Amino acid sequence: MRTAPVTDSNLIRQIAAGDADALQQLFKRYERLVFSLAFRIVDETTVAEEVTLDVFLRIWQKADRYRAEKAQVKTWLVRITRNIAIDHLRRNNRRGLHAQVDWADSAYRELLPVAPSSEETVSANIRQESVVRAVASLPDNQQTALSMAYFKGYSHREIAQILNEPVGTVKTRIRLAMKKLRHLLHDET
Amino acid sequence: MPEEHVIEQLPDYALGILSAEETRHIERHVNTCALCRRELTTFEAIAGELALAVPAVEPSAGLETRLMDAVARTPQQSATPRRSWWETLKALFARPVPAWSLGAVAVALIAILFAVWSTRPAAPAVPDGMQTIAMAGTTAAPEASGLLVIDPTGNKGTLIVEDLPVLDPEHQYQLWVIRDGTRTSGAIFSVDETGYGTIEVTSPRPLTEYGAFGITIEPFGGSPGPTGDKVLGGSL
Ligand SMILES: [Zn+2]
Repeated sequence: MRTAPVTDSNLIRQIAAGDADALQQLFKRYERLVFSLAFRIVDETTVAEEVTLDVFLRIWQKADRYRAEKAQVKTWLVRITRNIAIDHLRRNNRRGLHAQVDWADSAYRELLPVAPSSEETVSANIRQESVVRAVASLPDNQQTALSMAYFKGYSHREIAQILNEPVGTVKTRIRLAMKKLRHLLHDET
Repeated sequence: MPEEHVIEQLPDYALGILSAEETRHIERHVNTCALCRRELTTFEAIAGELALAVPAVEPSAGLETRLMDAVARTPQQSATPRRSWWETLKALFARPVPAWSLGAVAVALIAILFAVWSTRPAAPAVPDGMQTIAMAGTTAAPEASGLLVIDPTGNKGTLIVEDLPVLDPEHQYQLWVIRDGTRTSGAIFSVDETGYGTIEVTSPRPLTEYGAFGITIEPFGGSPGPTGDKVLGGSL
């Protein structure tokens, strides 16, 4: 007998009602995604694990703040992960250690298995390949600026200082990069 | 819409790399503009999906157990329903403070309500040693107002805030009590969806010994010292 997997937003609702099992299920779905992203940002296994625990504890405490109409659960989780991990870098003055981090290379088979359930594995893998390919299609200087903003939380000004480029140039690169990603990933009509 | 759209800044907002001031400007606009709101949802989805372009790393096997242990020890924080001013004040005065006469309470109530409802709150004079400190919003939160009520012993304080911007889940407000230039944390709090909150204030010394009070935006859980934008301030 097979039952349809509970949707992410239903899990959040159950978590908000105090259901710890639902949190455990959400953890099983997104542990790797959260941990891999945290690791990319903080670059230390033990810290990335602490960040991962913090993220899910925060979900536990604040699940009732989730607004389904504003964002998918995955989007929400990613945002919380980035915030906690980047805050950690800031607090410990560690951002400068690895100011530039590369995006995943589509040539390597190192991509995340992120599907919430095996039924969705195929479509999730296809989506993931599209995202990796879309990022890889950006000019190198756009990839770099986007990576510094995304993984380190650097402002336009900070990126400009590190790369020794005008602020306006950095702003343009990040906006062009995001607009191209939007075109490649969300304009499929 | 008389105001300009903010579409150009939405990618930066979705990446979370704008200043607190720019962030609030965009949030205000998006709250009233369906077009920008729809664009923002798309860019936030992209920011979420970018996490897929990260090489996979395997966490250690014990992580799930550690999480569930922590969950068992951690109570959930549910958003508390908003109390009316009247109920807040009643709760305040329901505390055992036998020295207060009914008359003094009435005067204090009127004074507090007056301070709260006037456009530019000023600290009213109140009898019986009870003190109130009106807090005014800075340019970072011009609509906000706050009132710190200190009981006659100086040891108990209640902070009431209104119209503070609702922060993202990663940030909270932190009250600083200031004495001889030293800032000590007095409370860490969030506001409800209308920007309202009542908060117990604790401090190492009686509150009446502090000359000034300020509220800043800090990472969730608070900071050892103020790091973010100041939103409210007031002094004795
Ligand atoms: Zn607009």
